Amino acid sequence: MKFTWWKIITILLLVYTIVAGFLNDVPRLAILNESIRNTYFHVPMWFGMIILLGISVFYAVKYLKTPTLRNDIISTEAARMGLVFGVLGIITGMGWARVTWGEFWSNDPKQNASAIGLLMYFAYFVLRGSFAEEQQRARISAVYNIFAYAALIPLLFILPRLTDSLHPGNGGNPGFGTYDMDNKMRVVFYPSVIAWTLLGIWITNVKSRFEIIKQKIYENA
Amino acid sequence: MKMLNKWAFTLCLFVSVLFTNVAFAQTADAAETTLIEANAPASNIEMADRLRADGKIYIVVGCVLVVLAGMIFYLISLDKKVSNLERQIKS
Repeated sequence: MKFTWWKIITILLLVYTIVAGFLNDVPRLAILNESIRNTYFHVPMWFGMIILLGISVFYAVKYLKTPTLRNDIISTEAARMGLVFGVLGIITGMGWARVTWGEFWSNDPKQNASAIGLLMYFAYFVLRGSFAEEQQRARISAVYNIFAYAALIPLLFILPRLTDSLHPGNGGNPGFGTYDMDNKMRVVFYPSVIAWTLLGIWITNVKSRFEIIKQKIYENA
Repeated sequence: MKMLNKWAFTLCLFVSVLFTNVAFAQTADAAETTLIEANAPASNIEMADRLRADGKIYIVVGCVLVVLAGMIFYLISLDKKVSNLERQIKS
């Protein structure tokens, strides 16, 4: 394994996120209290998911232009890692919601929309599993991938803002950007987003290479 | 394998842009902080001040760091195994 620069950055930023995330000063806000530190661990899951699913769509489009096995594998593995981030995001979000909003699941528009979004991506893997023929599987799931991402963006970022949502920045609630989050938090928050996303990219990278090797062995056998 | 390298690069570029924004937003932030303080007296809000003063939070941070280190080492070992396989297949 080559210790490329971005792998080192991943490790350093993850350590920084945890140390600074627990020990730095945060704004004193009622109800949120110390749980505001979840911003460094819950929110990056969703950022990471969106970025990884974006990579997945990029490679899906690339596959449709040049149908190589590599493009299909990277697209699938990025979607898989994005889904892992999404599931972690929903679990951490439910824990946070319990202590701040009172319920694990309060049918908040953004909670519901993200659950629907995750189901769409579960359906992507069900769809993949239902084809025996490789080319067909890769092509049809690449097309589905593009539609799923196009539906996910309004689900997560537009529809919750049109109604009342408990999430910051939705339905008239001020977002973290307006006054809850100060620059002392941003100094930890942005690196944390990068750190978790890079970790996801790293895992995607290893898993994709593994799948490519597996395919090569199958071809030779 | 150079796969995904450019994504990592784009991401880092993006962050550095965000950091520049933070640096320029410093002045506006001071006004925001006073706004929050005006809404609620800061000392009344329950925070884990004593926990950190007592040093117990360091145990938690250490614990999480150990978990993270374990995961990173496992990921690195997986990465190495895959690299070995790649080399074997090439030769």
